[in-house]
Amino acid sequence: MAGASACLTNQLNYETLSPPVRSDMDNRIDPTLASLIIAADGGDRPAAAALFAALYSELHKLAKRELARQGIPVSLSATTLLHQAYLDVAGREGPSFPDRARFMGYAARVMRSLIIDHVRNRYAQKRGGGFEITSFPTDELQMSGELPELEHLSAALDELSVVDPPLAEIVDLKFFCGFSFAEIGAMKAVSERTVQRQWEKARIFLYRNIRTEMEE
Amino acid sequence: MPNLSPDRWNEISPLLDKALSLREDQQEDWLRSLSSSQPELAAILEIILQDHRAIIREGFLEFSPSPADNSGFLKGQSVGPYTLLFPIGEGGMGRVWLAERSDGRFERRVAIKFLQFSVATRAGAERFKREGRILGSLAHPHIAELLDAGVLPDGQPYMVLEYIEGNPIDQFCDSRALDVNARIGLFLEVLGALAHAHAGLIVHRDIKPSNVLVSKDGQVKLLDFGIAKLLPQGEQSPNASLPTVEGGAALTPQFAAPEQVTGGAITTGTDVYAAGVLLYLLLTGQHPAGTALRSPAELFKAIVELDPERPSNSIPTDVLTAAAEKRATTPDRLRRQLRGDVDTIALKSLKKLPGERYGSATAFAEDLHRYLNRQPISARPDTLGYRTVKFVSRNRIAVTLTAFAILAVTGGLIGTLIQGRTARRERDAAIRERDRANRIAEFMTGIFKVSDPNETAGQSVTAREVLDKAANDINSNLTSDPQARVQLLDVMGRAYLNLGLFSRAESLFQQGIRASESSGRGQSRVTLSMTHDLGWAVLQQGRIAEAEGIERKLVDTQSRVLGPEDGDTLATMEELAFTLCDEGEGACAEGIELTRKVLDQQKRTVGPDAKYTLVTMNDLAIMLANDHRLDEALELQQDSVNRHLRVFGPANIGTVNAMLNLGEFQRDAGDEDDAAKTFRNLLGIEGRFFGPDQLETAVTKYDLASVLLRKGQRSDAISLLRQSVEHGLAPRILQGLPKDPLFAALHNDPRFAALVGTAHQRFRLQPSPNKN
Repeated sequence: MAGASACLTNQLNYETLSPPVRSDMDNRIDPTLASLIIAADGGDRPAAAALFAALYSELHKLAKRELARQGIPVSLSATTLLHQAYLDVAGREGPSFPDRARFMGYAARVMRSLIIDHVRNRYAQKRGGGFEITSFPTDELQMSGELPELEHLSAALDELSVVDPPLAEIVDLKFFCGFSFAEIGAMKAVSERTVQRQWEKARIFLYRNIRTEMEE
Repeated sequence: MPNLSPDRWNEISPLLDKALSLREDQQEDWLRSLSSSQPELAAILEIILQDHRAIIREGFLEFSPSPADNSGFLKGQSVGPYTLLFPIGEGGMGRVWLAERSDGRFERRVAIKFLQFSVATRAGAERFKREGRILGSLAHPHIAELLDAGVLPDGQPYMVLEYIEGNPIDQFCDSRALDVNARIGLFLEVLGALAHAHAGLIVHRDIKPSNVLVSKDGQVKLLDFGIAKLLPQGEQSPNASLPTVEGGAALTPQFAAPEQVTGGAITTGTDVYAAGVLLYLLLTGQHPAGTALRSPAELFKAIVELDPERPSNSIPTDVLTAAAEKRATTPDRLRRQLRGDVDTIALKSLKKLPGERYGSATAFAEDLHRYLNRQPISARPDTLGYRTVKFVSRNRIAVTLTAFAILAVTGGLIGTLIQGRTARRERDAAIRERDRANRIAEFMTGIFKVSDPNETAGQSVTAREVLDKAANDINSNLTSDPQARVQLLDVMGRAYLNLGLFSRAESLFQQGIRASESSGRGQSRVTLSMTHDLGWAVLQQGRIAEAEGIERKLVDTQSRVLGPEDGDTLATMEELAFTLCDEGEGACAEGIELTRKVLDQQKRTVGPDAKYTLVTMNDLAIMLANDHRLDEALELQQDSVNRHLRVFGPANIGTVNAMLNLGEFQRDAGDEDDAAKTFRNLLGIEGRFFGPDQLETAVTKYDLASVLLRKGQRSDAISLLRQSVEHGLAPRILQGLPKDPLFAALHNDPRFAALVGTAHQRFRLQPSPNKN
């Protein structure tokens, strides 16, 4: 049945993914994630890049491990993966590790990248597999996880993270990582309603910017 | 319109916040007023708000591409005989698509829900389909129909449901500004659906506004009936709002009942609770656990431990006006509408113990109907503290068996569980405790299921049968957990005590104490308290000297282990004092001195008006009266009554008992007029706060009858005595009636003989508690 095979190929195949940045900290003494987060919080750009790479490798490794442990090709939700990652890292680095909210802020950004890589990968497979990719509908934006949309979205998100970083983070957490408004509210210590309003604002920004870009 | 530049964004961002907090019709007015002061920005905002409507219509970014949330389904794909059209929503348990029959046989569109878990085995798939068929048999106008359930070849389970176009019930009510009665009316449809499902033993388990839709024509439809049960353990709610760390499992506790939070048994009572939360939300816009809560731990704690605020008092003042407006009324009128019956009904449905909630969705609905029809409701407010007062006056204790002792055990353990969340070691201990609490609760609820608390007449009989069964079971159950077993023996022993079955109580206490001693916990508080109760059980069987020995030894041990001023030590001293008084008049002097010591101690440590101080005062007065020092007894008792009235008011079982004793002392001292006045006062109080079958009411009538007889009012006396015998008098007093010297003057009266006959009949219905 076509539906079933489509479903299976859409499972995230973590095995085929590799970090975009080869971590140059492999085989050396790792600076702790905690110290990287603190440096990145302070605006240290190289530290932020290193943190991104380290988290990417962390999440990737964890996904592989979880899938191997479960034995069957079950899908693993982004939320579960992030929670697990936090527990692992915080457990390893000890009580001084930054709180969950700050960790998730950075990790969600990494997760976005991981997912876009995954879709890119799947897109390549599909093109070879006889699937037809419909052209991007300009009158109706349908974000169902297809690559061109996602790449536009990612570019617009990068803009948003310059203009209004908290809004971009909410999109990463909600759209890419699947957290609910209530969870994000708990993380940011704001009300669910505030998160929802920020989410609406973010959607407005992204919608308008993607639209303009497409028209150009 | 160009791209949104950073500068532009910063300009419009605060305006957007404002616009998004308005309703659509309000937005237009607001835009108009903005365009007079800032026309350029107003024009941009107008476009942006149009964008926003398109965003909502198209569901822009609604569906996360995150793996594992079934994003793999495609438009046009076949699922069974259906073709997927487009995604329409995302629920707590998976994604929902609109679909239609592929063969075009039916016009009707359906919703297909893909559940977020995988069924790995053929047996699992069969089970899922079978459960689905059971749920599919639930045909009710207010339950969304389940048309089919199946599993795709890759293990993806799905359900085909009636497609409902509607809004969550809370949004529906707010958008139409429905008043309180209209909201209750809609809620009654929810209860009707629940009652129907419960009759088929199907529990919803996940009632919340997003699962209760109201269609455009105002019909309530419950979604996702029983689906929570189909999910494998630990995946009850993958779209978790408040993830918990343990085991990676997630739980959405906003609508969870205490037993869901603590892992207890899920019953129809669980749905009654969740429905109560929904009612609370519809009426007040607030969650019963309050809004100030942030962390999951706080919410868990609130669900398990904190009694919710009364609905009438729950709406914070800053939102009260808005809340009232949405309910088509004024703040004052809203509060007045909720105060009283609505408060009582909502709080009864939200009781921590399932057994204290409404027994069924139907009973819940009946009370709401009574409220709407302005009839008296069945639920009683919690103002009377009488159920928690453990003991008052020893010569007329006949407290029937309740679940409170059980609450004391499990409640304490659940508290421990919550405190022990942080450190790993503590957590392990807490898990053991929770398991124990669960096992005890399971065992107890299992055995108490047979007894129907609404059946007052047969209650003690049923409770006794139930206890006997449990006492037999305990030797085969819980052998692996000695501590749980000891706690159970204690609880059941006390239950036997309350039923007056003293030799059985004694045997359970003995077993419990032996088990404690052999596990090296002979001096734990629970063991000491069991020894205390053992002394009481022995005394009640007339073995006075033996009881004295047990109590003297216990006073020594408690003084050493707990300290001479500990409340438990003092309680045993008081018990010992009573025992001494039972031995005879000479010994009572020692007992009275001992009790005075206890009283002085309590006045110093807990204060002269504390509950236990007043109980001791009562006891001392009884001892003085038994020792024929009636003047002292009367003076003390009058003081006690005054304090009770001041501290607890008339609607309190302690006050009632103090007045009862005062009246008896007055009678025994020969002050018939004072005694009659006291008893009549008391009957007035009881008439207002108790039912006619309450034991205290019956005793008061019995006592007043004896006074009237002495005053020569024979007919009045007999009429009161008849009321007393027919309503609620304890078996032990009924049993003594034929020979009671108080009524010796009636022994040759045929009307009295008829009464004794009635008493005998009632007595036969409730076999003698003293014959074990």
